[in-house]
Order: sequence, then C-alpha cells, then structure tokens
Amino acid sequence: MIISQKLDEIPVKLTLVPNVAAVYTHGLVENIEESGKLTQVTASQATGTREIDYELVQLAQRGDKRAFGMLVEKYQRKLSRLLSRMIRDQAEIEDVVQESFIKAYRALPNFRGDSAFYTWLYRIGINTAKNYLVSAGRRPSVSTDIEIEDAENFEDGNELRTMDTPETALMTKQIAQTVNDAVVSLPDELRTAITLREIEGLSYEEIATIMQCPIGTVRSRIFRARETIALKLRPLLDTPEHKRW
Amino acid sequence: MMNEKVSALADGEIEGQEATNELALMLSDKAAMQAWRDYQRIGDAMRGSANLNDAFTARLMLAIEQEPTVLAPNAMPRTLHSTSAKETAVEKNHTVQKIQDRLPAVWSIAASCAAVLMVGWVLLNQQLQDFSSGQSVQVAARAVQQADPTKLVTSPAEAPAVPLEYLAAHHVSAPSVGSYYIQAASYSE
Repeated sequence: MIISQKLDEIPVKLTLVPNVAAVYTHGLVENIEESGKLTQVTASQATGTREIDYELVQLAQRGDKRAFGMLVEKYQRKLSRLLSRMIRDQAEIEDVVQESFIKAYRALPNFRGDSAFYTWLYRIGINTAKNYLVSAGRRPSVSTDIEIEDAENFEDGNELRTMDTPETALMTKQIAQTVNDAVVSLPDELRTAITLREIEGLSYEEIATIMQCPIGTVRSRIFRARETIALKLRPLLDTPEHKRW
Repeated sequence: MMNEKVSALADGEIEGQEATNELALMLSDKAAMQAWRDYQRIGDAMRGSANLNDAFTARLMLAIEQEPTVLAPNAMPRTLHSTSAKETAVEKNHTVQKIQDRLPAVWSIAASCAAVLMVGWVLLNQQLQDFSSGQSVQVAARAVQQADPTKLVTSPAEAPAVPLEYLAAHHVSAPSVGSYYIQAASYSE
C-alpha cells in the first residue's frame, strides 16, 4: 500500500471502531502492513460527511445540478469500485455507473434523508447492475449480497479484477504513481495528517489528538498536503477548458 | 482561503450554517469546484480506487444536464439551520414570540380540560355511590311509574323490590328516559 510504511512512526494507539475489522496498535499496524492490506476505518467524521451530502442533495432538489455534480465527483469512483465486484468489464462498469447516477438524479425527489446518501446511491447502483446483468443474460461474477456498510470499508485495489481498457489502466497507474511520489515527498507532518485522514478515515479531532496539535493545524496541514499533491497531479489530468463541466 | 474551506468541506469538518454558506459560494466558484474534484481524486487514488477517465465524467455530466431539472424543494425535512445567520436569529425570535403569544390560550385550554375532567370525575363518583347505596331502587321505581303512570310510587319503601339482575337484563328494551339511568347505574361487571 502506498503510505502504509509510514504508519509505524505514529507512536499511539488508534481506537477500535465498532463493527469494523480494524484494531490498531503500534504493533498490529506492522502486521497489517506485512499482510499487504489496510482496512479503512469508519470514523466519526461520517456524520459531518453525511451532513454535507444532505446539503448538496437539498441544493440539487432545488434545481442546482452543479450540487449533484459535486456528489458525482465524490462517489463515482467509489461506486465504480463497488460495482466492479459484480461486473468485470470496465466499459460496462462505466455504463452502469452512468445509468446509476442518472437514475439517482431522477429519483432525487424520493430521497428523504432517512439513510445516508451514499447508502441510497449504492443501492441504486447495485440494483442497476443486477438488472444489467439479468438483461444481458448473465449471472454476476461474484456474490451480489454486498453489505452496503462494506462499501466504505473496501480493501485496497489489489483485489480488483476488472478488465481495464489500456487507456484507463495506464491512467490509473500514472495517477497512483504521481500521488504516491507526491505524498512520499511531503514533509512529515503533512504526510502524517493526510494519511490519517485519507487512509485511516479519522476526523480532524482524532488526528489532532494523535498529532498533539490544534484542530486548526490539522485542517491547515491536510489542506497544504492536498494542494501540494494537486499541483503535481493537475498537469497529468489537465483537460481543455471546453471539456470541463 | 476558499480552497482550505473546500478541503474541510470535503472531510465533512464544516457543519451547520457555515457549511450551507460555503457550499453555496463554492458552486459559483470554478476554482473551488476544481479543488473539490482534485481533492476527491487524490483521496480515491490514495485508497487505490480505479480511475474513471475525465471523458466519462464529462459524458455523465452532459447526460445530467440533458435531464429535466429536478425541483423538489420540500422533499427532505428542513435542516436545523436557516439559510443565513440573520434569518436564523429572526426565525428564533419569531418562534419564541409565537410561543409566548399562545401561552394564555394554552393555559385556557388546559384549565377547560381540567374542569371537564373534574366534573366528569364528580359525576362518576356520584353514580357509583348511588349504585352502592341501593338508590337504583328509586330508579326502578321511577321506571315503573313511567311505564304505568297510574301507579304512584311515593317512597323507596313503596317501590317494588326489583332485582338488579332483572334491571340489567331488561334495560336495553326499556322505553323511557329512565333506561338511561338504569344503564348507567346498574350495568357493571
């Protein structure tokens, strides 16, 4: 995994999150590194993320499609990853992801906020994938009984067996390499902060406790880390202005 | 530092009214929207999510643009906060004032309910006492008199001794108003 070798520099225990198969101590982190897996922890920050999603959904329900676009940006790759358990071909995954988002957009008036948006979206995605497979006369390649809660606790991408197109495979590799190189070259405090946030899924408050600094400092470090990585990533992704939405 | 707020929004670390305000600003800021896209992509790349190429995202957004605009402003319950701090304060004051204006009416309603309950309780107790003291005999006497006006019953002693079981069994078919009292006083299990 990209950043896992740096986790042993964190000399504190991370708390157990119920129903998530991850108990972190200094020693156990090393064991996880050896196994090549790193399970993402569902953290208390989920509440804040959920509220942001609700805000965006409400804006979209009032007619602002840009708000829905922000949700697309946030969840398209996660949804793609989820559906890759059911569909092998990358092109077909893209078709199903697109159809799922369009269905979700049309069904926005039916979203009442009883569940998290991503849970609702993922259910639409799974149903869309099932219908797609049935209409194509195929059975899903793996069990479709994917617990929605697991969608946030995916193991790393090494276990994916999608049939990428050469273009997407190359782009994925380049992006991963660029991000990896950028993260490794970050100053220690920035690297630690961004790792605890993106890989461990910890809240700012939890990171502040671990790094023994104010929450504002955590926020600043994560922002600076992202900006540094983005500067190196943008030339790779730079698309002409007229092709951006 | 708009992008720093975008970063915090992406992590769900801005809440309430501030989140609403910042999201509204972000939607009209191209640089902020680009930052949002970049930060989401960075997080997904760090977690090993496969990339969906930019052409895919552009196609998807074009398809969304071509969809009829969804308008369902009341689909979700309102959030706890208003669209602006000022509106929040005004709303709160308005709500407090409404509650204060309704207080006299509330007290009046409560007093009326209490009075009704008290009267009902007194009547019920009275009926129960009547039943236990045998005054159902007087009721029976009245019923008999109404059935046959020629018969004058002047005192409880003169009232025929009508078994209560008889009264209970026949109260349904009793033709007079007296049956109301019989029903209320004598029927018990």
